[in-house]
Amino acid sequence: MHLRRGAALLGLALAATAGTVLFSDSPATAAEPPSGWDVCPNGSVCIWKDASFLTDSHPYDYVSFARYIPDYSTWMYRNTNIGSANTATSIINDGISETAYMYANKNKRNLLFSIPRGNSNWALAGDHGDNIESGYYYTYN
Amino acid sequence: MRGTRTRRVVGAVFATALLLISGCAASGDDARRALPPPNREAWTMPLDQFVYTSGPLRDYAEALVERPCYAAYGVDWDVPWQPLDRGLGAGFSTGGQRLFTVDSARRFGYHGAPNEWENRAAWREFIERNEQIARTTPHFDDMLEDCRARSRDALPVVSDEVLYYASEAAAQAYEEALLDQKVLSLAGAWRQCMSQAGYPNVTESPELMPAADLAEKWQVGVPGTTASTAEISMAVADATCADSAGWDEALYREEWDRQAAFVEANADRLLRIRDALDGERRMLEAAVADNAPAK
Repeated sequence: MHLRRGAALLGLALAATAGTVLFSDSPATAAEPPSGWDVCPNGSVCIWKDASFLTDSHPYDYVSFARYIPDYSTWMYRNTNIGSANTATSIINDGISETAYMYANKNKRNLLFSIPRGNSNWALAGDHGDNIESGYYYTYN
Repeated sequence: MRGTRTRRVVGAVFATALLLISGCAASGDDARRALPPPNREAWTMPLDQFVYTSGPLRDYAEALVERPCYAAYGVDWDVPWQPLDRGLGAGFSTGGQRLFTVDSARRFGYHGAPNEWENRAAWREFIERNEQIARTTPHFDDMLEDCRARSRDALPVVSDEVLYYASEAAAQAYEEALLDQKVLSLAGAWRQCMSQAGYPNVTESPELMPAADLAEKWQVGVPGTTASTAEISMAVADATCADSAGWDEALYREEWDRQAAFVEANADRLLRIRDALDGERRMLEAAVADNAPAK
């Protein structure tokens, strides 16, 4: 899966341009918790386990991709041992240029929805919730 | 007086009910008339026309509208010409579902048909260049957020209801169809067929093919990879057995019926959504017409 690793590295590179805060846990002295838009690296799609862009109350515990993830079951939410397949409840597309496509099965099978860049959904409803197994930006779809 | 008032109220309620019923009937008729002809090969579905599919057009229109914004920051946002009708390509249905047929299996295995459109290579270069700009340009985040906000102001996106209502219903219809008793029982016939074709160890349902270890080995969902001979052989057997066992047809019918019932029951809302989708598409096409480079 070297390309997936490549995508992860690209995501890290993009994250680096967004600032070192992305690599640390929540600031201890922060007056207000950051929003999902603050923590999701620019150029990426981010998912969280719970509604309101949180994973067990932590905004920084997301999974992101800068190009695609063909199988979310191989990814844990940051700083956790929680698998990200079929668990996502909120999502942000903080992309540079493209719509993202999110699927109910691995390897872009069974489209759930597309999400334009600059859009978010704080509480994925019905069959959209707890159902994402893969995701791709348009060019890589 | 009481009696007169009561009769008036009853009359008004009755008239309102008649209006509502006739209105619903008209919407239901409109929605029924709007149903496409069934086509299993293309996996055509009643909800296809209500699902948000303007993503690629929006991406193009927004990129064009953002060009002067990035230029003001000194960044060359060189958007290449693109066709208006680019979508997900031959590997997907109109509603965005991945197609898997005997023909596609012969040609692409489980990988699916690549998405080809005019000037695709230039768009991909544009995307990769943008990634490079994002990595190397100081304060790019601020530029991105500013320019994205400007294009979003110029080209407002449709509501979450328009984005998600039909796709959520379609996902539910599919999940329910998979669990239909007839569909489940025909999976057994498919497994028997696969065994006879030389593949005794397959997943419980065609829906889960290929098994995770093979999907990993064959890099099924990884862009830029293609199907091996072994993958194509299994995929062809799979698609052929799903067809001959009747599993494909049963799944298609069950999904179709659920979607058709949903369209009829929610015609008013869906027709409003379709109007919103049409309106957005017209807005995006106008933005492209005003800003697109020469072909």
